[in-house]
Amino acid sequence: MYQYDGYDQAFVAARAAEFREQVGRRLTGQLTEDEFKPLRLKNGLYLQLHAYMLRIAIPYGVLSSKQMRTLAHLAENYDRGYGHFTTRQNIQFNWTELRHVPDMLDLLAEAGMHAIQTSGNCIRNVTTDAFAGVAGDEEVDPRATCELLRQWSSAHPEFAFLPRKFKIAVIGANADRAAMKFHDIGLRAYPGENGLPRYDIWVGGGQGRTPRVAQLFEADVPFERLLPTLDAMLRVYNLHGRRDNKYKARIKILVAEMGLEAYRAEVYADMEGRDLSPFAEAAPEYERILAHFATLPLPEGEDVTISGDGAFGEWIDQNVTAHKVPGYAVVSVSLKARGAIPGDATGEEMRMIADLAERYSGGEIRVTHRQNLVLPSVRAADLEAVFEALVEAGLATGNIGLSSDIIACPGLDYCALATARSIPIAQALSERLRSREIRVRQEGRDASGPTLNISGCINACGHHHAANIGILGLNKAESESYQITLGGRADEGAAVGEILGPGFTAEEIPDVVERIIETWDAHRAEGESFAESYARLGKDVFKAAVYEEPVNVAA
Amino acid sequence: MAKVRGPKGPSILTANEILSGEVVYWSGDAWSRSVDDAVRAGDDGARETLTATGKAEEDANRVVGAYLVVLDAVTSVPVELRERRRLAGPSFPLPHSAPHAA
Ligand code: SF4
Repeated sequence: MYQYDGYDQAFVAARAAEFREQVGRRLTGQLTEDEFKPLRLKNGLYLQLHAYMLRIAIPYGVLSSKQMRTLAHLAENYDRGYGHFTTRQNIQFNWTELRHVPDMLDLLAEAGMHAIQTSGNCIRNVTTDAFAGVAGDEEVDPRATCELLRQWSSAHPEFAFLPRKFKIAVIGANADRAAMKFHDIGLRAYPGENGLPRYDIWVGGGQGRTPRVAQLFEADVPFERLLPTLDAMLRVYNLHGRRDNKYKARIKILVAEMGLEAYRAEVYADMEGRDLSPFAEAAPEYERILAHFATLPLPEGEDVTISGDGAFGEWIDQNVTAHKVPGYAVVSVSLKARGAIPGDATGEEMRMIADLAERYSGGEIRVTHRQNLVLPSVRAADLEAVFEALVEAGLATGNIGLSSDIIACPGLDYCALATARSIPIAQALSERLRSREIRVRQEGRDASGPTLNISGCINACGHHHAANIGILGLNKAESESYQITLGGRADEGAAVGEILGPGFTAEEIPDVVERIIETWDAHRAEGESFAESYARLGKDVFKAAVYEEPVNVAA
Repeated sequence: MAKVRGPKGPSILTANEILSGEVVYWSGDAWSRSVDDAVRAGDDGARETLTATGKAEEDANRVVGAYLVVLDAVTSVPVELRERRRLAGPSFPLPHSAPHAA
């Protein structure tokens, strides 16, 4: 994996030292909260509902075992023993104390990590396919592009105060495992000439209160034009993005208001006559970065077919994916055990994953945007041993990609912006859906089901718009009410879900969701996914099933 | 800046302690972690005093984000959902390292 060079290392260490000094000035009263707030946000420190929350960047979701142990150490020594992996492939600590943050940032810097640009109106952590570099279906490893973009966007002086935050995702396979089209800019990399990729550039995707699927800005852009084009795209956005209304400030609104054609014309006009010589560095830098990822220092594994029964069989079917090197497998570790809090891991669990990665997966771990972890390169012959170790830690739930693999944001149990809770809803659904999955599998039937995502407010950090079944928590007259959307998709067929109808109470949600799944089961054509059935059936059949008969509320 | 949120009614002053970030309530002469210690303002004059106290305490760098929470006059429960949740804390046991069921 990529290692910081001396420049990166010195930069993050200097930023940590700078923040220590700023905290010192805050505590002696030299800085007021109004002055300090933008500084703490620049370093990922929020004030949430109950406490300060520190959001730490995990660049494109890649962690070494050593870095995971640093996170475990922070969880155990500076928080309440756990952390929360987010849909942005980052981690958040919910119970941080201001007095400890400088020490935490020092420890992170030592491990080659930081919390810079995890907040504020800047280019955020670039996200990607959690299977990057190892996926059997991959054409280009997106990590080198991500790292190039990390370097380009980190402390980019022109883009430090954009109209609003800016999110970029990169993929290099047909299958979209990064919700690429729900980003401000999405890149699909293809193999190009001389080992340098070409890109389709997508723009204007996003969630929040105005969900949009990105549109194709330009297809087949050669590597040399990638950074100049992104620079110009950001520059035009920076100039024209709405700063008067934060709900209209994202690039998706600008592109919708200007029209894609006009936006594109302005970007090209901006590029004209610009000195592109600074970008000449990009190609040699890309090659240098690529060398870090020319991993797979893996000896060819023995190509064995692994299968099994019971829990091991389910785990193999759901959590183990084809690797590009024969004899290896990609192992997903579910953070969605029955009744668990999606994305939460204790320090002990983090340490255990770090150890497993070191022993079985080249010391590398990935964080997925679905809030799970990945051991990217496990020898097929070691799968059983890995499974046994995960069973012991309670991390062997074989539900990756099933409905109980729920995305949920922190919601009103932690988040200062929330309108309702999301975690207890996820927990109740997980209990219900996991029972169904186990039962259906025991009956020898297909246990797959719709994707299910939950957000605690319209900001949609829980990606509810992009789920087959989305749940949005709202505040109706100071009570929680949950709105359901159907038909959203985060994959290559990206789509925004449609609102089903009036909302439900928290208690009603498990029955409502179960009824939706049963309705799908009853109307489903052979082998059809929920999204496919929904596209064919429309929402009326689901609406009738949910609203025409009263929903039983479980006691 | 202290600000009054939501409807009017009996109110208490809350904030987050600057160093620890913990939720605290104004007891009349100090900040307490327990809402039971909170002094209640029953009229506009008392509310203004509490608001001024919040501002002064922020200026003294002891707390951040001070504001008034309005309580139901009968039940003494915060009127706003957000404040009820903030008062109650997370609604589940926090994760710990005992293994989960598969
Ligand atoms: S969706 Fe809303 S409640 Fe959930 S984390 Fe984002 S801002 Fe908070």
